[in-house]
Amino acid sequence: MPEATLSTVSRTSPSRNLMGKRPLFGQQHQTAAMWLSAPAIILMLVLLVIPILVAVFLSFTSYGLGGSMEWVGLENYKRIFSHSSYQKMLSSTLTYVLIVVPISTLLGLGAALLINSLRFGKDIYKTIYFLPVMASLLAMAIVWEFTLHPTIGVINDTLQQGCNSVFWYPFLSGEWYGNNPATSWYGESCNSNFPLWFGDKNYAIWTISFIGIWQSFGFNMMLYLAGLTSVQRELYNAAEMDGVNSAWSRFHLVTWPMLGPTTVFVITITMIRSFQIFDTVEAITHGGPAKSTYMMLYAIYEKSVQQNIIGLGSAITVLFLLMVMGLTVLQRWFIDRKVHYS
Amino acid sequence: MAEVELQHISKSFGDKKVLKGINLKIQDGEFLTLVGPSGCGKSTLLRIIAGLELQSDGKVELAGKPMDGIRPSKRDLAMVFQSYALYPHLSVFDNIAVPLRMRTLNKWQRLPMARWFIPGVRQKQLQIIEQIKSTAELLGLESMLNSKPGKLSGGQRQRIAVGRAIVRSPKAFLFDEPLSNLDAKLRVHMRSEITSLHEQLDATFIYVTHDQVEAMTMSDRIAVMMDGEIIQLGTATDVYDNPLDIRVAQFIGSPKINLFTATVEAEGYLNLHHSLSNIRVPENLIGKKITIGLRPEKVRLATSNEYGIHGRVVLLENLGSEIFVHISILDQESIVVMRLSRELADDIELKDVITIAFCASDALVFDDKGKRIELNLMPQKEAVNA
Repeated sequence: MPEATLSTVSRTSPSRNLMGKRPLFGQQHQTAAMWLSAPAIILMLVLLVIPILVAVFLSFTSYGLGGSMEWVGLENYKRIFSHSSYQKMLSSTLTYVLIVVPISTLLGLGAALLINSLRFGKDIYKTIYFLPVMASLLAMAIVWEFTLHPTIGVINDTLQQGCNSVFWYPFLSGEWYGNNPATSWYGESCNSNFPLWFGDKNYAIWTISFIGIWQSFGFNMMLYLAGLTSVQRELYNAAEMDGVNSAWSRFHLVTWPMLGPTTVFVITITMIRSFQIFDTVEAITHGGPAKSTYMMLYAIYEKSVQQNIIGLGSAITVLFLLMVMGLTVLQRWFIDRKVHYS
Repeated sequence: MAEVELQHISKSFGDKKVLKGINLKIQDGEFLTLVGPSGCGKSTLLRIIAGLELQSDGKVELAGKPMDGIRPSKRDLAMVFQSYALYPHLSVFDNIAVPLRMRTLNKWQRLPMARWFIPGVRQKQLQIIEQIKSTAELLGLESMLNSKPGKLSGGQRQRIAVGRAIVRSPKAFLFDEPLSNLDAKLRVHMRSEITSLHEQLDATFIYVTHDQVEAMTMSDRIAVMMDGEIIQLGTATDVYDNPLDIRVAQFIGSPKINLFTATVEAEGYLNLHHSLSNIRVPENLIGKKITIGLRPEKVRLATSNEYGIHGRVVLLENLGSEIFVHISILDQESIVVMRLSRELADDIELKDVITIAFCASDALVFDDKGKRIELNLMPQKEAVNA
């Protein structure tokens, strides 16, 4: 009760402070506040808000550098949703996101839990898994391109050599399991060719996704490791006293719920980063084959920069912005509702 | 419910010896408090009983069974943590339900839909709900069963932590400084609540605290720990009236015990402030420095015709029912605190010079190593004679 009375007192008498003077926020102070925050507001307008508004405006026109600018209304958006190559753009971007986000999140969590349980050598593993994050993805894309090259790449070369091995051939073709080796994936590839990892439209999106996972899970692992350090040790002790025996129950009762905020953050950041997939596509596939790796950011670049159709490029940009913004709003909502416990 | 026995428990963290051969037997249904300053190893000892920490040497027995190599969850103990350690994502109801679910249902029966598919689960779940309800009633938690701990106050969280412990009937309850995160008023209240809980449950309680008031007011027996050892084990009265070590005398009691240094003169008589007293100690201590301890309530004003120690009043603390008079002994640096009733202290003003005296039988004498010395008292009553 004393708290309640105190708070009513402070609420009913805010107009005068202890010295009996007028409160701080007079007319003059408001002007000063405006002046002081003006530089930040102006910078934000010039650098962030106005460019977005310009992009929105341009998306309703047929603008191209040096060309004329005509108001075309929703024409650009109609084109995105009706034209098959843009439908492929949306579906390949979403496929990429839906493959990379869950797998790299789970791998990140798994790696973090394993590393956290180690007694020695934590730093070595952290460094190894974090290396791909630190390297430039564009450079790494070129390395992967050579590694997975159909004729001179080390992967296909190794697979090819297994075809003549008495151990690897039965093992990889599933013969040991009772499969017919000739009809298996490995057997067939041995007879004809091993896949063109980037040249076959059935493989390209998966290969690009694989590189995406390889590159991003180390980052997620770091975020999870940071999250794990903030889990109260005492909670594990309490769980043990409450009769929790198995590692799974401990994970289910303590670790996973306590990592909730981290998980939401990891998923959001991985999603946004995967929507931004560009380097590997630009370096290796250029959107092909048959538009199977035609990602949004690459499309924006191709339309606006390479083909100078800035109006259409802006429309894709606006769509991209809306998606990412939607995700961010969803994350805020989820964090407030579900995973912040205090 | 069971008795707990500790045999030669030692614990080292690296080179640092935290516990040095603790022997302790806690009776069935006893409320035993481990009390001591921070860093004395009392929490470590409790965690060794719980199994959360492994002893370097020695044995823990619960109900006569050795507990070595048995993990905490299998020891059937319940513990209340200083930080409460509630699961923040679970409601109060679910927090209290965790120990019951974990111990009465197997992993398949704990699955969310299990009661529709596995026979008997429904019955067990109803039983769990019943148990939680009666625990909530006992602790007054009914109205907050659906809230998350984050929305509740410290006192309420503390109560939930107790609820999570007492919802089962384990072999013993362990409390690790459960009241130290509460404000003073609530602490006094929870003190009495835990005591009455002990009476109702009639279970073995092992309680760790650094607060001697908690130890004195709540427990059947107190184990005073210092530097990794139990230096005295006894009832509250025992530990207060008859401390066996100067560290116990200093730690127990508020305000602190008054200490005087004295030298042993011929025939073992003590020389206290340049006057020979009639307190006599064994003659092998002649020439050594010893310490006399005197509880503040045993110090009194000297009558006009009696010899005593002179001092100047430097501080008067009025507690309403009584007054603590702080006296600076003349020619000495030491301060003596005297506990007087209001009527007796009425005439005393700040900076007055007064004379104090005490009964020889009230003096607690410790040798140069801090160990207690039993006294041979002279027949006459007064302590200080010039």
